[in-house]
Amino acid sequence: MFDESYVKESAESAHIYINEEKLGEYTERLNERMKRIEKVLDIEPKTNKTTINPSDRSTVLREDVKETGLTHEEAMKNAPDEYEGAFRVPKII
Amino acid sequence: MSETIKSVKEYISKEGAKQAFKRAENVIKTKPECENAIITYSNPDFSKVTNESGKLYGIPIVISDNISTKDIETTCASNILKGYIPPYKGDAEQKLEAEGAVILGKGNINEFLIPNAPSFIGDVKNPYDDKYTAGPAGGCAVSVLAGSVPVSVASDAYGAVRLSASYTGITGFRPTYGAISRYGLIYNSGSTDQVSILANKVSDCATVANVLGGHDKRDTMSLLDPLDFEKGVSKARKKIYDSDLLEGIKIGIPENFIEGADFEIVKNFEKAIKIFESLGAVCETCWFEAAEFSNEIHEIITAGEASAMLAKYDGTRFGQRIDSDNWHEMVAKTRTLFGKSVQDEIIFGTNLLRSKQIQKYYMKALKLRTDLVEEINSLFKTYDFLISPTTIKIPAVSKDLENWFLTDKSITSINLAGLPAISVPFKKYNGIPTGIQIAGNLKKDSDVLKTAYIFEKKSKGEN
Amino acid sequence: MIYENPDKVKIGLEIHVQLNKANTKMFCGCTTDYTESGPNECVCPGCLALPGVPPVLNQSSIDFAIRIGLALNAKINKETDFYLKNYFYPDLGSGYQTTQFDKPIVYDGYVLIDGEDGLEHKVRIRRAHMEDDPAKLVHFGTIDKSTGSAADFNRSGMPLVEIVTEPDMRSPKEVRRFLDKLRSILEYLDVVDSTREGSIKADVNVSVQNKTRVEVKNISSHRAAEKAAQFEIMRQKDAYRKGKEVVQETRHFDEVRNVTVSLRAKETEDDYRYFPAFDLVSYKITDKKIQKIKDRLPELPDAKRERFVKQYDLSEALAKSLTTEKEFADFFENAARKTDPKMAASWADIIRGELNYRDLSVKAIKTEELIRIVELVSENKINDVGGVLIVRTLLDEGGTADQIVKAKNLGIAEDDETKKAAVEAVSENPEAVSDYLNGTEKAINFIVGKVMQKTKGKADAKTAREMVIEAIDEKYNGN
Repeated sequence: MFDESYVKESAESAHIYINEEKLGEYTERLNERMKRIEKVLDIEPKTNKTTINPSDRSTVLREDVKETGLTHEEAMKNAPDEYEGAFRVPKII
Repeated sequence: MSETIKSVKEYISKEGAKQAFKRAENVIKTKPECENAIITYSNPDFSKVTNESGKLYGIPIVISDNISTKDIETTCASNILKGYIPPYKGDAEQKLEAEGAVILGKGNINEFLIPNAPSFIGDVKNPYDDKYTAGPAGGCAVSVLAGSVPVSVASDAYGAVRLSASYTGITGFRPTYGAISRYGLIYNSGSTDQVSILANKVSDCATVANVLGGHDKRDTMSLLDPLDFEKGVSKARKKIYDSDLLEGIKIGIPENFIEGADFEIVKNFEKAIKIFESLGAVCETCWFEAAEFSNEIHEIITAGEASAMLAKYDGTRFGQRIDSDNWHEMVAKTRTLFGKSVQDEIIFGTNLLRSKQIQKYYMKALKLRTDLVEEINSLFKTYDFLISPTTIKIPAVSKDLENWFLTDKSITSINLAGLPAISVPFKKYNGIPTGIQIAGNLKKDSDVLKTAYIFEKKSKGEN
Repeated sequence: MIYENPDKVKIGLEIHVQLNKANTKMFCGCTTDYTESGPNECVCPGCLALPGVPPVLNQSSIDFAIRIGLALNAKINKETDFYLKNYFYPDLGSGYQTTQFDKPIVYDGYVLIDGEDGLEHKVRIRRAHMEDDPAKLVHFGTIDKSTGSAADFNRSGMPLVEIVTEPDMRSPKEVRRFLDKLRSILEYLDVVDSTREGSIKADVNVSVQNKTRVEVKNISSHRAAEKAAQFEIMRQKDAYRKGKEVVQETRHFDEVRNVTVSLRAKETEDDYRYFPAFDLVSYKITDKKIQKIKDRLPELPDAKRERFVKQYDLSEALAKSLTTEKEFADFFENAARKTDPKMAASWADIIRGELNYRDLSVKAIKTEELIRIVELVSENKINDVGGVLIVRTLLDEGGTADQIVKAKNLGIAEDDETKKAAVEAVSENPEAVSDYLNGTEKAINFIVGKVMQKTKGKADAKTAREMVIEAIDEKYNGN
């Protein structure tokens, strides 16, 4: 069972703001979810080989050839805020 | 083939593409069961719809809202993406347009397709009983069912396409992973999601799959050799199929796919088996051991992947932003625009990937996935197809969607392995349609479609 | 004489090399050449991390990484894969960096440098892995007191190779030498243009007396890396001398004050939630592919140096100086094929000094000019002073060697002219003459210097000396 501080850490890591008074609900839901998957704790895989994707071939590479991207206007079209052609953001630290 | 597309084409040839579009729009805007079906309508420029010899000339099509469409708002049914206008075309849009199709609008889905996450504009109700949902790709399914469009292009993450097809009594086809480009598909789970098709008829699925298929160098998972969905059946089987029979075809029925199903559902499914047998197929029950934990590994893997794929919604370059004087705080607040279920999904996935947990759950799930894939390989050495009810559960109660979760091994095991599968409508349960799933081995898409076509034909009138 | 390393200094480096010689970025077809472009002008939906774009790995980033691995005498992983490193920062559009984890493409190599003791010293390479560069942030004000920042995604998705060494460097000087050597190798490999801003960055890990290891992050020049190491060694030694502990932390190098400063300590350890990149299955590297790249590997600085020593009979030091930059080595060798190689080598080395002084690249001078200078000197048409003048004029004002000889009248002084100057110098400097006559042999050099002055450096030094002695003899001994 995870406690609220664990859930808070996870939410901070995921950059999702949770109101203190809602933390209990989030914790409850996460623990329910963990219960749903706890079955895997008791199973031993037959193999050590992981499958990260249904494709079992070697990654297909791209030829190193330039392609047309977006115009500057297109790139900035959805920008919530802009400063001299770049995406403006508030202070980071 | 392509029965519905053919009939739509007939009136397009008389009325023209623009009229056909208006007719489609009229249907979807007036029929009550189409409420919430479309999130954004397109405003096509008919002077550019000129390819009269295109396979889909003038055909109105709904594209699900988690597929990028240039200059048409694309929201993934989430508040966080409200107002986002993609500056580029996804591969699906490009290929459909090249064949003359016209995008009617963006079909409503669950928020980011997550099974228990309602759309920000509201759930699409099931036309057969509005207490229930029409499914995770409900808007796409209902627009086909209502006769507005002959096909809809969506994606089958979490089984969205097959479930929605099953719930609404239409056909939902998921091709082999990589058979259709994911360029423009806004997926959470890159290793299980796949562009898929909803249509009235199996043949329409095949026609549209052929339009969408083929190698795309913009998707690293794209198959190098295109599949022919209409004519690519195994040589050895061609003759049998051509006689509209399934003589000698071996079909496996994983017992554990049906475990926990209601009596009615099992009874319906048994009738379906009878039809396969009457067509000459050999049906046999089997045990699919690895599927015993496919729901759990699917849940772990998709949530882990989603936690990373949904990180780009930070209010910096596109989409909504909730202001704050600190960037990290701005991001954390902005991300509360995700619905509750999406937030839960992200926190769940984030927690699974934490260094304390990752070996215990995520890495283990990836190993169990290997077991699953290997067992499937051996099953397909014995059987040509695996069949089951598409789902053993009735749809979620619409207003209670947030408490629903995916428990169909028939969905999760197929998605983890990237196999082609189709849900064909067959009978009803409690007045709500149900579907039969036919799944085949990798790249056997054409065989799956052909078998579904033969079953569809034979079972006509039994819906 | 073995270097004893009395303070047990151990320095390891993590060097980020931007593979800007690739045509396109790591996962999309955007150009890597954005230096002349405005913000967000070289971007696409992929590197901007708009929704819906799968990554497709650039072939060159793999090839370049293998090239680097082979040049660093390292092993190449037969199967390499990618991981996602998750964290939030405005320069990281997707919210994760695609990097490598336990199967880096390159591992277990080494680079030889000149050690503190003058002996060859081996710096082991632990690994080198591929990853993508984040966007560029410009902060309004300083990072800690900024009111905000602006993000430019032109750099986002640039292919990087991060090279990690073992802590095998024992002094700041060895750090400098290692970095110089590495840069030289990378330039030879044609994978990076190191003149581009931020193309090679280093994190420096320093410990003394086998104690706490401190990391200094994001250093952008070799000189700064050396200085940062110097400061850290001093700081740590000082702390231990005073009986204090050194905190294990990440520090930042202040290039203005030449000091390292502590970055604000984080409350919790970052958990990057590394997990396999599900959109990029592992990449299998065949022996055939490795062999193919090996076959096309250019001659590297060490090999070229050895060959120069043998083939042109040059000293180790001179050969080394000529081979630091590939373009320069070619500049010399093109001349050496057409004229006296030893003379070409020493003139090339002079040119190198003049280029460095002016911060110019070898592109500023043509091989033909080097050949011509060697010819002029060996035919005795100009002397060494004239040669140097030609080089300087050529670099400062342009023109050809022949034009400069003519314009500046650099031709060697006729004997008459030298003779006249010698006679004058002898009569004008009686003190020096008497010193010389009293046995101070060196005094003659002073008078020869005067002759050179009078002839504006055109006199042949040997001739001038002979004539000065002659003039003294004539004047004082009457012969």
